[in-house]
Amino acid sequence: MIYLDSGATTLQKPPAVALAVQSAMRRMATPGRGGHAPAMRAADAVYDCRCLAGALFGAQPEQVVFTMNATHALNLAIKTLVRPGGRAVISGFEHNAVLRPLHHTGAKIAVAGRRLFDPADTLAAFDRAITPDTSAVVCTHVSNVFGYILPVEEIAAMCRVRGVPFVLDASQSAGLLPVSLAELGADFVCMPGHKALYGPQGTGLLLCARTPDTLLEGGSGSASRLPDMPPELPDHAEAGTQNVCGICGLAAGLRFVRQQTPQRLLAHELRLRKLLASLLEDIPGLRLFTGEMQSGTLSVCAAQTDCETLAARLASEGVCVRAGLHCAPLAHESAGTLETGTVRFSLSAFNTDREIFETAKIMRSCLA
Amino acid sequence: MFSYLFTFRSQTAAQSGRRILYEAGLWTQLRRAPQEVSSLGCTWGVYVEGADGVHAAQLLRAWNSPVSGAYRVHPNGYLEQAQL
Repeated sequence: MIYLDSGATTLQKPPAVALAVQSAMRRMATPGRGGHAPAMRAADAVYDCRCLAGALFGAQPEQVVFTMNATHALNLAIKTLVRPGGRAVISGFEHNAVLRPLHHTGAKIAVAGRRLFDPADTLAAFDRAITPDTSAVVCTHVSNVFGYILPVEEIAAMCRVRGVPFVLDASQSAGLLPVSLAELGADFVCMPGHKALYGPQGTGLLLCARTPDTLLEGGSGSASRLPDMPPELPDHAEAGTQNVCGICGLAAGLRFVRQQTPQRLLAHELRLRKLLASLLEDIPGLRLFTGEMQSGTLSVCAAQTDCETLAARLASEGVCVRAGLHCAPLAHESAGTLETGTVRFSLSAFNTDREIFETAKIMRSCLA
Repeated sequence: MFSYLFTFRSQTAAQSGRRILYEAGLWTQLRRAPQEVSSLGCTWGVYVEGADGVHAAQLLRAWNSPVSGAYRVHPNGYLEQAQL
C-alpha cells in the first residue's frame, strides 16, 4: 500500500505514538480529578504535551487547549469572535470547518483572494476586504486541496494594525511551516493533532491569546463550587474528561516533529511533491495544480476520467488518495474545479521516492 | 520541620508554578490542597520546604504565577496563612 492521503490524516506514525497511547491506557487515569498516582501520572503527561506544543507554537502551556480536532478548535474560536450579524473575512480557500460555523452564526462572509498561488493578489484582496466593522479574519495557512501557502504573516500583521481579531487555521501547516501564536499576534490558532503532528485521531489544539467562549460546560477538576466554568485557561475551555491516551500519543508526535524539525519535514514533502509532479506532467489530459507557494500537496484533474473513478482505480492498485471536493467547496470554486473535483496526493515524512515512482507508474496505467 | 503550601485554582497553573520552582532548583511536591484552604473546591497545592518559602514566593511573584494562597504547614498538619 502507498498512503498519499496525509492531508486527511497521517496513517504512518512514529512507533512511539502507538506505544505512548498504549502505555497511557494501562497506566493513566484522568488529570485533575484525583491526587493518586494514576491521576498524577496523567496530569504530568498532559502538562508535558502542553509544554511541547507551547514551545513549538509560541504559546504558554496555559494557552494550549486540547480539542477533539481542528474543527472543534475552529468552532470555539469562530463562535467567540463572530456573533450573529457580524462580518467575517476569509480566504477563497477555506475548509468547511471554517465556512460552516460561520454560516451557522449567520454572519456576513466576505471572501478575499481567490487566485491560486498568487500571494500578492491574496494580500490585496484582504487589504480591500478588512473593514472597520470586521468581527474577525479567519484564514487557512495552507489550502487542504491545492497546497497553496497563503501569506498569513502579512494578513495577521494587517489585522494587528487595524485592531481586527485574527484566527489561523493551521490544519495543513502545523508541524511543517513556522506557526507561532505570539509572533503572529493571532487571537487563536487552530490545528489538528493527527496530521503533520503525527498524533492519533481525536486530538486537536486551540492556542489562545484570549479566553474563548465555552462550547461545553461541565467538570474541569478545578473551582468545583463555581456554577460556571472557571475563568482560567485551559480549564475554562476543557470541560469533561480529557482524551489522555490521545494526548500522550500527540506528545510523542510532537517530539518526533521537534526532533526532525518542521523545516526538514517540509523539505522532504516538497521534494517528493515536485518529483511526483515532474513524473505526471506529460500525461495527456492531466491538469496539475502547481505554483511557487505550494506545500507537499498536489491536486490533479484528468480530462477524460472522473476524479472519483481515478481515485478508485488507484485504490484498487494500492494507492490511497482522496478525490472530490475535500470538504472545501469554496477552494474548488476559487480554482474552477467545483464541478469536476480533483484527485489529491498529500504526503508525509514516511513517504519515499520509490513510492512516488510507483504511484506515477500506476497513474499512467490508470489513465491509459 | 514545617513547609509552605502555595495554592492554585487550576492544576495547570500549579504545574507551571512547580516548573518555575523546579527550574530554580527547589524541591517541590504537587498535591491536592486540603479542603480547608480550598474555598472553591478542587484546589491544587505546590509544597516547598520551609527554608525555601520566601525564595519560592519571590519566584512565583516574578513570573506572575496565579497563586491563590500561601500557607505555612506545621508538622501536625495545621495550616496558617503566610505572608511571604
